[in-house]
This record gives sequence, structure tokens and C-alpha cells, in this order.
Amino acid sequence: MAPGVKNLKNAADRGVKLTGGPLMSGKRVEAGGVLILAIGLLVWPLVTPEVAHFYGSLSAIYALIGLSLVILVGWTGQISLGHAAFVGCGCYFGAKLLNNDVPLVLTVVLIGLIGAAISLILGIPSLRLRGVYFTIATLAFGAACQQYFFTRSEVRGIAADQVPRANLVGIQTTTDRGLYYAVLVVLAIALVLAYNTRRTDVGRVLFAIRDSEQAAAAMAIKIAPYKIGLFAASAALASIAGLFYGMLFQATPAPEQFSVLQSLFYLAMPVLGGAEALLGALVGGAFLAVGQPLVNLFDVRLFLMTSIALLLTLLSGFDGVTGALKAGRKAIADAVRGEPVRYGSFVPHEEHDHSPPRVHATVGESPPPVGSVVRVRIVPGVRP
Amino acid sequence: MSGHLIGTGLTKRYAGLVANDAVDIEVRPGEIVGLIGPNGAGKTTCFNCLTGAQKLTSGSITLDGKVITNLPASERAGMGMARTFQQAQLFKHLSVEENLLLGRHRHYGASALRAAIGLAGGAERKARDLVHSIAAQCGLTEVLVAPVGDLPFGTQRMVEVARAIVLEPTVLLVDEPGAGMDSTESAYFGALLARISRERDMSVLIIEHDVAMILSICDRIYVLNFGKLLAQGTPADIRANAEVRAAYFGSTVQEAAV
Ligand SMILES: Nc1ncnc2c1ncn2[C@@H]1O[C@H](COP(=O)(O)OP(=O)(O)O)[C@@H](O)[C@H]1O
Ligand SMILES: [Mg+2]
Repeated sequence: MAPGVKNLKNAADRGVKLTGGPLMSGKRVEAGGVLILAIGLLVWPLVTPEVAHFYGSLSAIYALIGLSLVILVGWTGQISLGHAAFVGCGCYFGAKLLNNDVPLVLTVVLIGLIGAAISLILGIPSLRLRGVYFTIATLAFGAACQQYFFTRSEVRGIAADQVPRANLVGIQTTTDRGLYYAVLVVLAIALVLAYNTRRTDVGRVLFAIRDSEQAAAAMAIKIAPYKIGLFAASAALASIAGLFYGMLFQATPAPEQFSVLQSLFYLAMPVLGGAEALLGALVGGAFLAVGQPLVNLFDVRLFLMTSIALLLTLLSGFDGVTGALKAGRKAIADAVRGEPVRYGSFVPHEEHDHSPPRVHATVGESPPPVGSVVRVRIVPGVRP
Repeated sequence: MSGHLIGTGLTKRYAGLVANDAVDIEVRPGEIVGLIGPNGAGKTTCFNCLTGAQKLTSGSITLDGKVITNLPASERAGMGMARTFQQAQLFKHLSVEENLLLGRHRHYGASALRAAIGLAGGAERKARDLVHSIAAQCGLTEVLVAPVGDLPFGTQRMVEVARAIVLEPTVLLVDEPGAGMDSTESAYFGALLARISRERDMSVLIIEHDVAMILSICDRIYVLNFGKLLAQGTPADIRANAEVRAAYFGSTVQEAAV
């Protein structure tokens, strides 16, 4: 057997795994974790007092918004400052549909379509632009909605429209607990769709476009439809969240709730929760839902709390809470296995000394000859 | 057989500089054609114009008889034209396998909607089968799950070539694949490319500085100098051409070409 092959086998015996490949992070552990999480999300409202269910519903609604931003920010690297406006559109238009006795299932679909349609008007011209120009366009859109559109009485209602709590097929939403389950169903569907998308062609295409538009085009990828389509999906999710937001409060909230400032708070969700993992949306959603109503909306304490949390996240260097959990899991696994050092996917042999090289002595002429001197330490190992 | 690429009068001007000056170039079906010339001669520019990464100032391009002069790069790729870049452009957030799978985009065969509701299993399996067989041919099986950023330079270039081949192109354009390879590696690479070209009926246009490799695998060679075509012909013609020797090879051609 060639020595390389033997070494590879040794590495495999030690349970060494490569890092980073999105498709190969401990599948079984992940599935188990998701199952436990799902059971937890289903069971907790049965054993808690009613007041918690309000926060539960709000968390789930925010998680929907968080998810809409995770796919936008995490997958394409685009930043939107207009997402609160989509939430607002979903809320106000949703109230109208529900008040006209449109069934909730249909309303969810229609609101998704409306949100997507509005996003096309915004996205088709602006997504051809890069990065910051797109963000500025969304900022203008958000500000215009807040100032001119949401303030009209035809949109919000004279003071505020009532929003009925319609049933989602069989799920009664008259209690906050029922509403929570309804939103949870929608959230679960959205998560599954997003997960499947990420693992197949479209997901790869979005990442490819993010990394190199030129190389993506050379792969026969038409770039604009993907950017526009993803933005539309993101806007649809945010709008659907807005529909449930109105139902939660049973009235159309004031336009300030859908301001550009609120969009900024929304953006904290993918950062805090982690934009790489879809479940980061849940963490971010819960954070904002619990933080925002406890202290007053836009209370200075909320700013402080969010800023500190954001700062800590960014300083930690992890991709939000989910990123930290993943790193922790890997660290524990490595500790259990006794996995000492890894350089990227290169696995050095165990017995090697990894301290930085030191100069023990120099021999020869002084001063040394002109030219740079490079000292290397050769580390034997394998790249599986 | 397809993969017939013709560029006629290709001209590309940058402010004050003519990078390509009325270049006529043709790659016939199944041929391996070399494009050589000193640094700055305009070879990469010629590639960019042929593939649509840059707009021509004037001239026209056809692929299998269809005029593609004004088509965007993605549509040319969709017609079966694949390329690699002089500076390897891999998708660094993705694994090697995912990079290769992207080559399969135009043949994927499942819509975004079907994929989202989990019905792309068949398409995904087919894509992976093809990717695994091409990866095996290119010696990349061992690194499939590795993030591309971790790979040595030469392997990254190989990944880029493999990704282009997964596209199942009728014509493949490779820009200096041998940069950073030693002569043994580059000879091996040349042989591999020639074999793949034969097996897949794929014509190839290759820019390369390793003269020995170019002379051994190419059916015909174009020599570019200061944006103008200096010579063209079979490897034997090029070796014999005094002008080429003066402009490009210097006097070392005899040694280099053994
Ligand atoms: N985007 C550009 N803008 C201006 N000049 C360019 C650009 N790209 C290439 N050039 C110039 O065009 C000439 C040909 O470059 P290139 O095609 O890269 O040569 P080669 O690939 O043969 O080394 C060089 O003089 C280069 O400086
Ligand atoms: Mg070049």
C-alpha cells in the first residue's frame, strides 16, 4: 500500500472530518437536533401560562421575517432596509382581505403574491445594480411607504381597522396559542421550502452568483432572474408575517411599526441568530419578540440591548448563536476524539510539534547576504 | 458534430490600446487549437470576447453557424460554450462537489418549485453521478467534500476545468491551465485534456505558455502578438516559422519542443 493511502486510512480511523462543506456537517446529529427542537416548539405552549403564548406567536412571526432576511442576507449578501414596509403591506392588505371574509389559507397565498409583486416593481430596476445601490433603493421604498402610503386612511383604516382572527383550515386562532400554532405551520413550511432550495440547484446558484457573477454566467446561469426571484420570495415571506402580525394585535398597527428603523431591528435577527443556518431565524425572532414588547417599541433600552447584543456577536466572530453552537459542537467532538490541529482540510500527524518555529542559532557571515530569508517548518500530514 | 466556433475580424479597443486587432480565429469540431503569444498579446481579451465576458468593439462570432456576437455570456454557455479563467474563479463558499454541480445547471432538469417541495431527488442524483464520474477522471474524488479555498493552487485549477467539463460543452476554452504546474504535471494535464476532448467530441481552444505541451496536443495553433495574429498553422508550421521564433520563442524553440 502506498504511504499516502495508509495515512488517509489513519486519518479516517481517527474519525477526522473535513470542515466547512455545507452538505457534510454531521447529518445524524443535525436531524436529531431538529427533531428535538420541533417537539419542543410544539409542546411548550401546553405547559405554560397564556401570557407566554403572546410572545410565542410574536416570536414565530418575527422568525418568519428573520427567515426572509436569512435567505436574502445569508444567501445573496444583499441588504434590505425596506422589509418592514413589506410587513406593513402584508398587515394592511391582509386586514382588508380577512374583513372581506376571504379564508385565511387563501389570504396567506394572496398576501404572499402581493408582497412578491410589489418586490418586483422595486427589485427589477434596482437588483441589476450592485450591493449598496440596491440597499438605498429599499431604503427609499421603506421611507416612502411609511410616510405616504401607510398614513392614508384607505390603507390603515380611519383610526385602525379590526383584524379578525380567522381559522387556518382546522386551526382556531382565537387564542394566542392557536395563532402560535397557525404561524408555526406556515413557518415550518417556509423552513422546509428554504432547506430544500438551499440543497439543490437554486441554492447553489445563489451562492455562485454571490461569489462571482462572471463565473456564474460562464456556467450558463442567468443572473437577474435569480436575484429578483429570491428577493420576491423574501418579500412574500415578510408580507405573510405582516398578515399574522395584524391578527396578533387584532387591529392594524400604526405606520411607525413598519418604519425603516424597524427594518434595521429586523436586520439584527439574521446577525444575532446566524445567517448561515436557517434556524438562525428562530433565535433572532425570539430575541426581538421578547426584547421589543418588554421594553417599549423603539425605547432607548431596546436600542442599547440590541446594539450590545450585535456588538458581542460581531466581536465573538461566530455566525450568530447558531454559528456559535455549531462551533461548540465541533469543539466538543474534537475534544472527545482528541483532534488536535487542523489547517483547513489538511490534517497534520498527531505527534508533530505545532509550536511556532524558533531560531536557535544562526551560522555564517554577518551581516547576512541580501535577499529575504524564509523559514519554513514542514508539517507532515494528510489531506483526506 | 458541433462545437464549431468562428471569430471574424475580432477587434477590441481599450482607451488608446488595441488589445485585439482584426483577429480571425476558428475552432473546428473536435479540434484542439492553441492560442499562444507573449504576455499582454491579447489572448485573454480574445477569450473574453469569444465567451461574451467582454463586448467586442467590432467583429463577429458564430457558434455552429449561429451568430452569437451580441448574446450575453450566460446564453453562449447555454449553447455549449464553456471556459475557465486565467485567475481561477471558484465559488469559495461552496465545496468542490457543489462547484462541480453548478456545471450541471443547464441540464439540471428540475424547476425551482419542484426542488423546493423536495421533488428534485432524481435530478440531483443524476447530476451527482455525472459529477462523480468527471471528478474521478480528473483525479478530484478525494477532495469532493473539501471547501475549495483549502485546496492547493493546481488542484483549484483542475476543479475549474472539471467544472467546465461538467457543463458538457461542445467547445471548451481554457486560459493558462498550466500556470503553477511543473512540466510533468502540465504534460499530464495536456494528455488528459486531449483524451476528454476525444471522448466527449469537444473542441478545445487553449491558451498556454508551456510550449512543449501546446505543440504536442494541438491540431492547429494561432500566434498572437501585440493584438495581431502573427501566424497560424500546424505545430510543425509554427515550429518552423522564423517570425514566430523571433517574436515569441526566442531561440529556445528547438529545446522547448523536444
Ligand atoms: N480591462 C482592461 N482595460 C484596459 N486594458 C486592458 C484591460 N484588459 C486587458 N488590457 C490590456 O490589453 C492587453 C492584452 O491583455 P490580455 O488580453 O490580458 O493579454 P494576454 O492574456 O495575452 O496576456 C494588455 O496590454 C492589457 O494591459
Ligand atoms: Mg492572459
